[in-house]
Amino acid sequence: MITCQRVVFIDSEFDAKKGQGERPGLPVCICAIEVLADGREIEHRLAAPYPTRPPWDRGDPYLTIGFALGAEAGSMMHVGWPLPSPAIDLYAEYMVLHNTEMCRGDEGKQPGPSLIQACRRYGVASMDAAYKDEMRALAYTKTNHTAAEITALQNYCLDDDCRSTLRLFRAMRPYIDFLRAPIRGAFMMQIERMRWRGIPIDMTLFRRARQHAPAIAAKMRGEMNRKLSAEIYFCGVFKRGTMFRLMQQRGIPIPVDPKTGKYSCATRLLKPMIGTYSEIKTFYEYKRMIEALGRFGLEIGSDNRHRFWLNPFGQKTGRNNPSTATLWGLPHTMRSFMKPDPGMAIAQIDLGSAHIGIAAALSGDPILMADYLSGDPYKQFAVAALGITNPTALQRQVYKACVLGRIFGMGADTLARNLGITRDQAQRILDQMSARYSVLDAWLKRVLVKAAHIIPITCTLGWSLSASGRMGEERTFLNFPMQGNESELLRLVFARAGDLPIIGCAHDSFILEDRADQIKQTVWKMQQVIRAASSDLLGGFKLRADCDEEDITYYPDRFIDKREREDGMQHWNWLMRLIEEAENDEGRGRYGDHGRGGGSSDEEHDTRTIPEANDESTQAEIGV
Amino acid sequence: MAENPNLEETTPQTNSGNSGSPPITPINVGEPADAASLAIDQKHLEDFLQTDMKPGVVECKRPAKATFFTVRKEDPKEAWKDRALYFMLEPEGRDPYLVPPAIAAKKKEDEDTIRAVLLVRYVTMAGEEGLWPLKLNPQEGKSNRWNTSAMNALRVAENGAWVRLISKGEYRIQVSGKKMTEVPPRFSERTFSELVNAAFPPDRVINSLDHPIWDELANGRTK
Repeated sequence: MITCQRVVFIDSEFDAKKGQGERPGLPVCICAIEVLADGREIEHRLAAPYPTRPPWDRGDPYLTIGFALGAEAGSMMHVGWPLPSPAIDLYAEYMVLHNTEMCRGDEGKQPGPSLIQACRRYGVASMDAAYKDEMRALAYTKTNHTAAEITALQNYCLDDDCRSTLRLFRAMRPYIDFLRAPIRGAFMMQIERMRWRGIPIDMTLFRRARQHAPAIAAKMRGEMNRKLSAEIYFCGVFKRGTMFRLMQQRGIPIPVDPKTGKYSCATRLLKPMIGTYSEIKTFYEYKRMIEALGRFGLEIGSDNRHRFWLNPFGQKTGRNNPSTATLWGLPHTMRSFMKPDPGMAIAQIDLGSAHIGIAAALSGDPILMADYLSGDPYKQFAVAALGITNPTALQRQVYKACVLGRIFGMGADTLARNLGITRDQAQRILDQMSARYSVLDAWLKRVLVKAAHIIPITCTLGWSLSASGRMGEERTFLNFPMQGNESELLRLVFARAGDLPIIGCAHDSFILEDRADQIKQTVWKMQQVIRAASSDLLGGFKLRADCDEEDITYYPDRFIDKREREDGMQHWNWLMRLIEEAENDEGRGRYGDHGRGGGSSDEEHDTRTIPEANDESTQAEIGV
Repeated sequence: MAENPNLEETTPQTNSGNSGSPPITPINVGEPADAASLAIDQKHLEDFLQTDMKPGVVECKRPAKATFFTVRKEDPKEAWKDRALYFMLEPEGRDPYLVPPAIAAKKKEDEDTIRAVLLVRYVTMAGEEGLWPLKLNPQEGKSNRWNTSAMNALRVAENGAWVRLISKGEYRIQVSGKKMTEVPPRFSERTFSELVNAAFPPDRVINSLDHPIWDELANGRTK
């Protein structure tokens, strides 16, 4: 614990270069209000050229407070200052304190607040929005500010932003968890550091793909129609009714969207079925690629590096929620546009089956712990349930679907649909799971009981959510302890990563970039950070941090996602072929498109009753 | 306030601050390095443990396969607390009935479906309680491998082990690597009698010689 006798409320004005994929511009000014132990205030107004270290850094511990500190982290990196520690970000604390409130609406979680909105929520006076816009415009639109303009920006920065932050802090102070808030503060600055580094993109190839995206999408639509022998796309428009008929004809059960209660072929609902039905796998992969090509744009800076807003705390579980227009929002095949620069290497560290590990640790289920630590819990379950030593890939997939499904609150009907088996068979597998992981099963039930009391479920570092009492919340709360604590772990890892060169992260994996001769050492250090962090949060239980030799990509190779590698690169090679074909067509003047646009879900839901059917061959192979 | 914004650092201004507001320092804050001590114990997820510790149904059957369970040992010098001998009647494919000794004594000669069983209270690793009916070997005649191995499993369990039954021509016994100290058994505060009453509500107890079950057993049933 650190005792701070001084608090510094900091803000800076700069061109954020929003949506451009660039690093933020050099700060026009950095201002701070330093509150001393005796209550006196010192106002700092800085402009370029900046001192080598902040004037308030006098060696003794002080607390830095800001609102959306990532922005200030960018300014500090620009001027060569170390990131301050300890630091508290009132944006992060607002998201922690008001998560349940922000999830109350019917349209998903509200976006995070601006400083003005947060002040309004706490009844604190803040600046005029129009004045803020005017000042921002002044900071964004030029680089050669006059002395008068710099003074105006400093006045705004200090008298409005810093002063509003101070007032907001006074209002929020009784509710802030000061012990854990600095972890979130460090996380907010570290993710800006990650954005600062950016993700290297093979721009030559990316430009070719982007240039021909409409033609490639058209070819994909045509190939998909041919492969499925149906006009799933007609004149470029996705026909949901045709897809429903195809599924009905092939005996594939059509999922019902739990949110609407209507039949749906949304990819998120079909994803669990791709291991069972080859037609669905084809549809899923093609549709995701077609949709991605329809919005094929990444924010890439002039240094050929992809940067984007991670939207921390954007989901109710505390997960980040970046836009789909990011490399992580594209189908995994397209992540191969990521390519290290000469002399560099990229490594992916995966928290393999993190949900299972967290569930095992939290529930204390000894069998699930042992299965997780074996490296392949799903295989262990299949082995035990089927009484065999070497289950097939499909059998493993079945028991994986069951374990993950149970944690997500999946019932026998959905499991049966996803696996193409009867309801009785699905129930038997679920019973097998309840019997094998009886401690987990009972624990999940108790978590639901607590959630049903409309009492916050709080994760290890304070992220929490309360039930609203609405129907259908059980699934959220069955999974919340796992997703929520996974998010807490991710934040702690970032906070402790220091100078480790993280350039990207998903919910359960990290991407690092370093010199080719250093990458393995860097990976090892990161693995230690992840294992120690998980041990600290999970009562000594260490999660896996997998990074095999093949998870490291050296120049001139390109990054390949594990799933794409397992599929033999077929989708990537197919994409490359289509790019070449599109270029050849263009050269020959045949740049045609049987369809238009990227395809969209533009039909109403089909609400007709469609009988479910099961695939007997699958049932036989599963062996249930 | 800076007159010249191009100065390296403008002169700091001091003022008396917000005289009406309480001081904001000192503030004690945690550090990422302290996460192990800062981690909120997730046991709070089980705050309402007691609310679901009384299931409406207590099952009277052998502990489920693949489920580790244990039992409490009885003190040979005292009356049993968590086990007792009962007579049970088990019609084919139906739930068992409990038969009081007086009724059993009168019907036992005619009905081989009435058997003496040892009902033993058990609890699974997950904290679910039940009654395990162990069939007894006849005092005269040949013993049965299932009965004998079940009784052996009971002895292993009552000596402080989590055990699991595996059916392979007999009950094979798997002992968990988890010790009682690592996963302590969570027996509820209910008494053995309460469990028996829950497992055998009044309609599952044959209290008279006029009970319809006797007619069914003697003459068959149509349903």
